[in-house]
Amino acid sequence: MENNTNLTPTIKTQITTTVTWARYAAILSFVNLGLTFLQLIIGAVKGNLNVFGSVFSFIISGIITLVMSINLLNYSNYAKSSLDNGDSILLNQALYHLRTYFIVMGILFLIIIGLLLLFVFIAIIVAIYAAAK
Amino acid sequence: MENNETILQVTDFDSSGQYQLSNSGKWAKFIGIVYLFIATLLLLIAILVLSNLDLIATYIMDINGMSKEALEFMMGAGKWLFALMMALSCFILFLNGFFLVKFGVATKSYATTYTEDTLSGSFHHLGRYLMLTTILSIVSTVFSVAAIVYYMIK
Repeated sequence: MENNTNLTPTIKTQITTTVTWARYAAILSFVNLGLTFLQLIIGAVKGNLNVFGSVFSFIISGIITLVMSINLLNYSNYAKSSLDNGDSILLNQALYHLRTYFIVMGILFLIIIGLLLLFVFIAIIVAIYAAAK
Repeated sequence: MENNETILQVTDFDSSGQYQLSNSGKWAKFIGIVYLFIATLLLLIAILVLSNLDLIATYIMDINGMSKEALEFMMGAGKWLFALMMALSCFILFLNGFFLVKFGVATKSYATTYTEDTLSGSFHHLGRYLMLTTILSIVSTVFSVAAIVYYMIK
């Protein structure tokens, strides 16, 4: 059974608010990524930089930031187009990008939790081994 | 104008959109719970550290040694600075988690009722979360610019 919901003016206002903030958040993420890159360059020029570690962590965090920001920006663009043109398909596209944004963040959290649990597990094993010795 | 109003009236939220929103809500709720858990953990750590600061200072002195000035700072302004930083971190994490969990709960509620109020509530909480994210990004940008200026002057 279809349970379509009409987009009332209140809902459209709420979506417009999310569109605005999502755009600002995405653009600021790009700016922050650029600033981090600038810090990396300055660090390298001044010679106080662990090049391999810094570049590696910049690449990893840069890819994650880019994927998340692009999805947030796409959500903003598609949702705005949907509201401007009254097209439900564009709204679905927007929500697809919002979902991807949260999935990427969720998977990142799962990886961090997994690594923390692994660290705790290894610490317990090492402690037991040291106590038994 | 009349044509535009007709087009706007046919904009609705179909099953595909409902699925995407519901799925976003589930992930957001998970992330929100993790944020709340970390906020609680930080709060506990802060309470434990602040209530045992004398003991911690003694241990550090035994291991590394500590100047009188450093000890005075640690027991005076340093303690309050640490408490302020931890309280601020907990508050930000808690707000993030709160908005994400509220968004997740509202989308779940919408998935069962399909009412306009619950859909409006979902986007309201999402908007709050994105607003907080933007504010935090502005703060981060200010700190990054300050760090760059400091490095260039130094």
